[in-house]
Amino acid sequence: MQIRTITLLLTLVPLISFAQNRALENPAQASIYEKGTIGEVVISHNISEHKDLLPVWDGSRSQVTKFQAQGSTLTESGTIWSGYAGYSRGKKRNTMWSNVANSEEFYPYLIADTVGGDYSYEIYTLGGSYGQRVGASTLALSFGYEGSLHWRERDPRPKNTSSNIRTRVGWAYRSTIGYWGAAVGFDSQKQHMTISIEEQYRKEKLYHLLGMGLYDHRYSTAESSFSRYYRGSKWSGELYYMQQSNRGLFARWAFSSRSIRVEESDTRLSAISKRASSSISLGYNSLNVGALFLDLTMKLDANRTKGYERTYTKEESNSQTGVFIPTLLSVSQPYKRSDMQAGLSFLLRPKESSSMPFQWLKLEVGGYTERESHDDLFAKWSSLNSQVATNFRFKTNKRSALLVEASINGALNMNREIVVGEINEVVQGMTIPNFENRTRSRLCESLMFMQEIGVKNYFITPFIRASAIQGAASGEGWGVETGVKFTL
Amino acid sequence: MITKLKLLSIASIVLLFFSCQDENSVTQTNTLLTISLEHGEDHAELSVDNYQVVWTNLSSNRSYEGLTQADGTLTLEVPQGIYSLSVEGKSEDVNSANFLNFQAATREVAISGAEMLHQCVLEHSVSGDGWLFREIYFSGSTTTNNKSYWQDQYFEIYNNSNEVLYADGLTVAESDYTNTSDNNIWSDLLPGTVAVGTLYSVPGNGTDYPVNPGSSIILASNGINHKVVNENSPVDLSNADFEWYDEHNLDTDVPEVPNLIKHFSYSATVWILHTRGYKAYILFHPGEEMSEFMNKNFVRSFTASGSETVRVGVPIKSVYDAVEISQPEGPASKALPAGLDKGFSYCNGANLGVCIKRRVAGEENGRVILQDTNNSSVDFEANATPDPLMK
Repeated sequence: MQIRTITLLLTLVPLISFAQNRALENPAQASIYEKGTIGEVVISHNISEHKDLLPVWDGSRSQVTKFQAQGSTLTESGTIWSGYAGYSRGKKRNTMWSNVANSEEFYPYLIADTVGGDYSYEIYTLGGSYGQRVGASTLALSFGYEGSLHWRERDPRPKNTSSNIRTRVGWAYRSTIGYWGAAVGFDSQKQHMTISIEEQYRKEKLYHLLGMGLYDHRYSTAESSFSRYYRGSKWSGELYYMQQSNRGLFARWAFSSRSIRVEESDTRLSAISKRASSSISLGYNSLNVGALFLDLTMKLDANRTKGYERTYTKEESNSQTGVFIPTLLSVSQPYKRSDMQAGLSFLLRPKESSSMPFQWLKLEVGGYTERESHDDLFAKWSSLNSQVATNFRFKTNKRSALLVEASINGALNMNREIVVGEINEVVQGMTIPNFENRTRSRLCESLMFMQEIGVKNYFITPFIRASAIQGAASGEGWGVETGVKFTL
Repeated sequence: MITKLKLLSIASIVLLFFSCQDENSVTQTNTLLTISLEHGEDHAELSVDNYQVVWTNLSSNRSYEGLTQADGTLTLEVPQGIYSLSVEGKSEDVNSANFLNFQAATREVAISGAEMLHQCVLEHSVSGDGWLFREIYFSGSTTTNNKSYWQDQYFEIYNNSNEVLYADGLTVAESDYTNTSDNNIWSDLLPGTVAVGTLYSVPGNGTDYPVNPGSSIILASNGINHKVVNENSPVDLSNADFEWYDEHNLDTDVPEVPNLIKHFSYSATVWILHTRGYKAYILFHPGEEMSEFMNKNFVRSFTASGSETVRVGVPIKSVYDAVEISQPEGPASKALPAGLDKGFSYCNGANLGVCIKRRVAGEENGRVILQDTNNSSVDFEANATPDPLMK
């Protein structure tokens, strides 16, 4: 139940933070944009509360403090250096039905208990890239690492230790008709989940989830400890064309193929989920509309996930030791999920010569549709999404300015249907609430103030952003983010 | 340029929808499964027609069921996997003109391949309209110092019939086999006999201890108010009908509570019910003097080194009720034959202060009738709160 696509539009989590992994798109692409040396440091704190709007494993209240730093430089000789580092520490309260960090990534193969609780987490990021222009071409290589620790301080106590290593090789080429680029990447992902119960003699039933309210009855038993590995790999690539760096036609096609293996000691390999994704962007930048430029973008994203499940027999290998050797009996592919998102974006911005406070006005409209099934159980839904956002910059003195940004996002559910067979605890506690929450129509308003202050050769920008969200029926939420940004 | 963009779009869509088609490792997932039923030697001449067969996939919990044909076979198409099997039905005994009940159950059967034949021998099942276990409290509790407290264990035995029954001679026994080990040295005795490691009987001359319909007797490890001794204990057993007492300094004889007669115990010290379960409990009447019964039914097993284990074999025809208790995921192999108990019950762990409790099937003229289908998985509530019916 990957919700990332839809919540990107409607999220309450920080928007101010810059894209820390931009060096990981096409690292050679920086040769088109970056001039000289830039650097940014952002420290922020975000609090949000949400009711009946997010999957139950995200809880009802969250807070996170982030530190992020990024810098890049492009020399006259065409050498590109960039790097980033970050640290986040946060807490999600009242989470339910998943003991696995990054639940959306590993769904449907989660482990859950009925207790739930507050999840604390820390995330560390580090990465960089190097590129060199050679004639009309630029070749670049990037590397990124993200490590995290998610834990709960209450029985049963899950602890997730994860690492994600990303590498990417990019190529950019300037021809007489425009800029061309290509990149390929490989991600290696590992997450080790353990669950322990400190209270003596206590056991809790751990549900081995299969999605759609289903769980493996054979292995979903009361346990006092448990461990599992998720091992993932992902190949990705992209191609793009731009007529000019910020003007004219552009097109981008990105694709990826991701595989996650679920491994346990007594069943070796219990499931594999495979996801194929494709994304196309087409558009035109800087169309002349009187005193303004208009950027047009059409985007289409599609994902398809399949789940392969394995059944093992237990054969005792040694009657003295009682050690069981699992033997693979069968493999089936009962889980399928597909989703698609299409959208049009219109961005109006003043021409560079303009001195208006108005910075930009964005209008986005789009649709989202999703279908999920496991054997003869299925769910489907679709929505219309839209966003209006605008930004103004009021100059207060020569090197200071107040930036105000306002946005309204909306999602209108067009249809939804879910058919689940056996009504059990998982269906009642997770599947139905998750479906209801995700498909609920909603409206989100956001207002942000940033005060840009020039001090010597850098800028200090304190900011505050407040959001409110109203959902159909009982859905509601709010969020506040404050912080400060230092820019070289 | 437009042509290039069109090509890009087409290539993207093609890649998206066909990128997973290389998954050739998915094997055949359905099996044409045939079960063939037959009776044991004692009832070989009886029909095996119209028996209910239920295959339950242990992972999905989905059941596939049907009725056997006249030749005792039933063929179903099922997904490959690990299944439990449950069979039940009745056949007419032409000699007595009575219908006899038969059952069969298997905990785990691996179903694979395009076609598979599973042969199954039926077992004559025991009627349960008399004495029944109502509660078995084996997990014990913990003391305030977090030590194991097993002294509050008990059996509650219920008269499920509509007439007065006499508890005199009623015997409770514990299987010798620990059903999580998968190494039952007594498996050769099954399904007709179960080897037990303890035998404790209610005293009396036949009519000394009447029990009314819908009433219980309590057999306690120690007949005291455990809530006073240990505030974590959930039970007051000071009104227990009997207690099992072992002459050992680990046990205490409560003079107000009559003792069961101890006939046999594997334990050199005291009999403690396995606090995680893992055993089966049998309620039976020997039908003769216990000494004679035991002399007829001693069973022996020899290890590879030559040491001898002596236990008592209880023929299932003398059993009123039997319950298999195991770990939550089920026994490695069962101590009881399907004719006595097709399933099992459990508690989540030791010293949790919980018991297994038989479910109620209904009520007749104010008398509660307990459920007894010879399947403890459905007849008993696991991890129940102890609540014995006291006098």
